[in-house]
Amino acid sequence: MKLRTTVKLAREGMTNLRARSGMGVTAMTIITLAFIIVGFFLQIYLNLDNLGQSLAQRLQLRVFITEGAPLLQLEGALRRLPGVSGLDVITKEEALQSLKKQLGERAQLLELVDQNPLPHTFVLQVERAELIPEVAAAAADLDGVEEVVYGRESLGKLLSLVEAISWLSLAGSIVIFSATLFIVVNTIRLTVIARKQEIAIRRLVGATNAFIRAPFLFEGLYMGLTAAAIASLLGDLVYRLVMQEAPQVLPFLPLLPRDIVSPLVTVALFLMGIFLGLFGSSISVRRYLR
Amino acid sequence: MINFFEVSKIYPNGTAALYRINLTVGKGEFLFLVGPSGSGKSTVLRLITGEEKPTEGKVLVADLNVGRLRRWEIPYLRRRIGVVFQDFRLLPNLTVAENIAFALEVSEVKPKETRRRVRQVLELVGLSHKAAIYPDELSGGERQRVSIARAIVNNPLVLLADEPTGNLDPETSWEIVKLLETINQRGTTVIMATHNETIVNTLQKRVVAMAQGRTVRDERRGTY
Repeated sequence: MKLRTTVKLAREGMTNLRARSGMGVTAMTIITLAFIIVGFFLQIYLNLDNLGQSLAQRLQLRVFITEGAPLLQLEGALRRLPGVSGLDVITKEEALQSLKKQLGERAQLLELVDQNPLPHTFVLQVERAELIPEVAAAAADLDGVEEVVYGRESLGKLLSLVEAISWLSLAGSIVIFSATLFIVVNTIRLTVIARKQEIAIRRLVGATNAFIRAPFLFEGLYMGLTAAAIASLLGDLVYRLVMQEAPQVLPFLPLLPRDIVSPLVTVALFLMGIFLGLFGSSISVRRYLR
Repeated sequence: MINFFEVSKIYPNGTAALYRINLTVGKGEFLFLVGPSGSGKSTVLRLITGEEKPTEGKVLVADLNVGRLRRWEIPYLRRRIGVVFQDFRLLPNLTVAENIAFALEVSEVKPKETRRRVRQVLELVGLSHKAAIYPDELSGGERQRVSIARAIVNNPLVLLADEPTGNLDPETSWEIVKLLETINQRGTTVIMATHNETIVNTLQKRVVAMAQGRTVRDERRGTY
């Protein structure tokens, strides 16, 4: 299709959109609201995901080894436990050094002991919070393991909650996404029906399907892009306010900076707008292309 | 130009709209298709434009096997065929000139060339002075002229007219048929489906009569 024709059909899409004023404004408002909600969900999702990751880094088990146990074999066995994603070693000497550091001036206390009393330690990283008790039990069962300790279980519970909320916000986005698609399809279907006669005449005089489809695709695209633009701007504005107020209200909540969240949300909303607009409108005209 | 070989059109519900039709229309011919409603005239026209596919047999238009065309090829066939209907099918929100230009838009003709061709056909149908007027300000005969102008602006090989005088008074009908004759004399094949006995009998062109999906008569200088 030539550029001139494309521009003309793009303009026609704009005319179509304007001609729907009553229904169009209602539909646009609903679609924009939906995009705004999805934008907020995305902000929440990104932050919860971040929070979850920082919590997950604290999911560690410390496995203390009995004096004289075969270290290499134990290390292998621990690495093979299901759910273990990483392993660090703290040797007796390292443990002593760090204890000395902690004690500072009182380090001379240690000189009272003639040999190093600290155990060799393996630090395990676990994939998911709910696996911690299992991994701990399995590790404790190994020969040569003296004791297994891990962080408070409440941390794990908090993490599960964070994960649940982030999944919910994602699921909510998908539901809203589908509802929006439905609205786009039906709004553009109205235009298609209003222009049935034109479509029929175009077919008669030899318009290709792409030619017939184009104005409707543009119409859908404008709807999607407008909603995405408004929702992005508003989302950014709100996030800016949240970042201003949050340190006072929730000083310990680690929020992602605005220059990370806003671009991501904007890109996601625009992609969604483009996809919804094009896909929705092509569903609406499909019936009239044969 | 147009060839039907043993063409049958049978709908899924079993009705046979056409049964083993054979028909050859040469380049530059003027042909009347006559017969009662439901005899298959419109089906013949729709098979030529590719709106319908034959159940059996073969339809050739300018050596293209219409029944075998792929979906994307059909628009290109239609650009070589002009169609005129009883109900004009003009767009009310476009002027006369715009309605005609509408047909050139789809084949991406340059604006300058479009203006030139629109001016040309408007002159041919005698409506140059009404180019900027909207269809609802025109009489029935004038509207049909516009629709004919739109049909021929692409310089089609063949012009199909389905009851073009069905909504017009006798005098206006004559003007329209005269116009079709003029277009025919310029080299375009014309096929006109009609009920109008007077026109058919007076004009003395080739007449193909249809009844119940069959061709029952094909005469060189025929009557209704």
